[in-house]
Amino acid sequence: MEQTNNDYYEHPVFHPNRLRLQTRAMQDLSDEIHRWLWTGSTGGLITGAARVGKTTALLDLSSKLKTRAGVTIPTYYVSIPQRDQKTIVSVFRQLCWSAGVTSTVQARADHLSDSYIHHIADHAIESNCWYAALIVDEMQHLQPLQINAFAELYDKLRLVGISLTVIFVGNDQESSPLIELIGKPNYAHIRGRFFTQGFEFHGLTNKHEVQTCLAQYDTLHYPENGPTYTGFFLPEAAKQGWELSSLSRDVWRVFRGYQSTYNIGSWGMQYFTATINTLLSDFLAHQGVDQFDDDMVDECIRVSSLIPSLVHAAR
Amino acid sequence: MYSSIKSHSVASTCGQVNPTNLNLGRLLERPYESAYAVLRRLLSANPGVSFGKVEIILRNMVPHCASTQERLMALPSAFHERVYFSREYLHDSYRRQCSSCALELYHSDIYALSWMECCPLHHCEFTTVCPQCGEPWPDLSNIAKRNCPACGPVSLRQITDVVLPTVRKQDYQPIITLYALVRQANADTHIIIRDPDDCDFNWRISHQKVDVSLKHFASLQARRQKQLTSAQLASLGAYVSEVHVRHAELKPAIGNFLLTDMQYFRLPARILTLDEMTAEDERQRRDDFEIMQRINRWIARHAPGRHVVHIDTYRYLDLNYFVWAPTACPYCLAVSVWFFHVAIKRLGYDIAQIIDNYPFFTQGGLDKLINTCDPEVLVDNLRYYVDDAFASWFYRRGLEVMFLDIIRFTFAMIDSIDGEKQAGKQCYVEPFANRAFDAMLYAVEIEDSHMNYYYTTESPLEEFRPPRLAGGSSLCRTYQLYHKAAKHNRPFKPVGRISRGRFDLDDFLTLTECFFESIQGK
Repeated sequence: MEQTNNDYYEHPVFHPNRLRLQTRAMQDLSDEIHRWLWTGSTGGLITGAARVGKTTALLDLSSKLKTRAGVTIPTYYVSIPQRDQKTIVSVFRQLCWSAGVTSTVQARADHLSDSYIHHIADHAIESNCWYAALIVDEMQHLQPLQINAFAELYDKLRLVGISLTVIFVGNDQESSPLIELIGKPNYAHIRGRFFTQGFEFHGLTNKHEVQTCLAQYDTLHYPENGPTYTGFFLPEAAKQGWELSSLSRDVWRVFRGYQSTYNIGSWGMQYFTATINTLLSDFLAHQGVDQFDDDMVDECIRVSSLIPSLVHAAR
Repeated sequence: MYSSIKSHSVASTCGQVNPTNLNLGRLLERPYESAYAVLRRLLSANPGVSFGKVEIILRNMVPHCASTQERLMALPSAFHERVYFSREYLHDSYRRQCSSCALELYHSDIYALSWMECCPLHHCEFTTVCPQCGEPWPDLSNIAKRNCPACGPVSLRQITDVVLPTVRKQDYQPIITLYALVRQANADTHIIIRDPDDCDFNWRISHQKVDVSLKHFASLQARRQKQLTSAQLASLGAYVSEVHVRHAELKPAIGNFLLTDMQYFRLPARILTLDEMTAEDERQRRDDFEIMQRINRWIARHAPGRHVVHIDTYRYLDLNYFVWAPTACPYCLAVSVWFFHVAIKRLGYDIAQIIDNYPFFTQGGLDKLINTCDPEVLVDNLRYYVDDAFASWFYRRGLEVMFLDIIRFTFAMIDSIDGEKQAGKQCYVEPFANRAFDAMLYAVEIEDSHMNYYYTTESPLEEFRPPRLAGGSSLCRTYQLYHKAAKHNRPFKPVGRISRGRFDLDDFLTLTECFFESIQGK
């Protein structure tokens, strides 16, 4: 079938939200969260650098959380926005809004809280799973007092027989003030409940991980019964057996240069995918694999905005 | 259909705002909840959301349903199974509730049925008023306005503290058993009820959907299905009555129908003797006699004093006659009308219609007398007769029921007349409905060429207790003496008397001849 212009630009390479690469960090995150769930932990904290891929990883993972018996655990996601007034009722309102639970403008905190509880309870019965996981993203926007709202959810759900695990997610630097505040004695009940478990999420940290990601470009297909991602953009090269993962050592070497120069911890997935997508769809597709060199990678890293964002942070 | 309601994947909750999502309160889901109970838990699971808003959301969630009740019953449930109840019960079932169930946010449509005497779960009586707040149970549109733990929405706190612990311990098997009883009835295509007023002359048993509201329904179904004993039925809170069954063989009626119809156009010159009659006619005559004997014995037990039954023609009398004359004896009046009605059939349909046209009947509000004959059975538009033993039993039972309706009417009429006499007014009597038949459940099931006929009262006449007569034993005598001496324009002929303690077949046949002579003006 003839490929139209529209079909071409529907490729996941041009839509980063649709591109899902599995990394070692995601596997480690999955293992850690499952450990929290299976040991009855009430909550935990996931931190990481900005744009490293925490939210994407968690969204991808959320439909895959399972009990020891293999039953899918209903998982709920809420992103806390930055607001002038930080109240408990705003937390419940955000929870209800994110879940699509009907509420009124005048609804009180207890009404919103009860509504959300019933929402979770309904799902528990439908899925026949009496566990639930709640991912609270952008937790750095919360005040310590607002975290009590999650404690209330936990307590109420326990009364109806549901075990809730709250997973807070935040950026390293922005979350630090809140975490320090929670460390004080008057927030011991919150710290003990939700912040005794932690996990730091990284981007790509070595050549092997880069190779694993590039290999996925050589194995993922678009459309489903169509060519691989590599073959989509480089049909001739792919026919001859060329693979994108063969560039992994060079790509990692170029990044290492930036890593050393700018003291970068790991290669954030946003920047990595931007680099590789540009490399594949723009440079290699037009110039050919024979023209690959370090300058190409340099240019792609520059286009990915890795440097402008991190130079600002380094200051 | 329900994919738009909710999904428990994060993808649907993240970034998508669907304001039509409604919590269903499934923590409190129980078997065979009514729409009322579903709405109550819906409102409890969505605190602060008004009934109006819930209705709007339901219209989006379940657009193919026409009413709020139907939408509520169409919501996803682990237990929902539609069982037929008429719209009347669906609409009003909330009026009758168990107060203990109400505290547990439970109610079932089955509580509205007349044969449910108490709650099958708690064995307490149903009420029409909330015992907590004293208000009548609210309808669907008013539940949200109540601030009462028994009749309004309840908080999560009450659910976790009070309701859930009870719900988890409660066994709902009694409700399930009762619904199984009802469901089987609705699936049965052969349950049949007969309305005698539908047919002028013949009783016909034909297909009709069973009415689950009948008082004897539960007893009848338990008897038919042989799954529940009377004790088990009583423990379920259902009204228990004794149900009897008779069996009959069905015989095709092809070829007989035309002949049967033709006979009603004959005008015999005289009443036939027993020897001259057909076997069927002879059997019916003997049945007529047997029932008349039974009626006389019953009157001897219930009528005041040493009552003697007088058979008179009341054919030409209107209601005002009864007002201006001494009070008629209801026993004599009833037996006379009954006897005439039975005897007149021998002379054919047309004559029977004329003789049966009592002015005071019409004025008294009794439209027509129930007829009795051998029943015809209609199965898929094919006619069948029953075997002789059943036909005789059915015919005799019809005679008894007919007498019951007549004597109930006479007592009611005389009671009304007495009141009007005191007021000195023209007489007006409320319309009277033949209800003796309705009070006895008749249900039939047919399988191949056999019929099972279920009924509740073995002897309808014996179970009837006539009211006391003002005037006592002298009433009948006073009336008879008045008419012996009275002069009036219309012929009024006594046909005969029935002596106390003696009434045999010859007496019956003699009485019949006197009747025949009477209508011929001899």
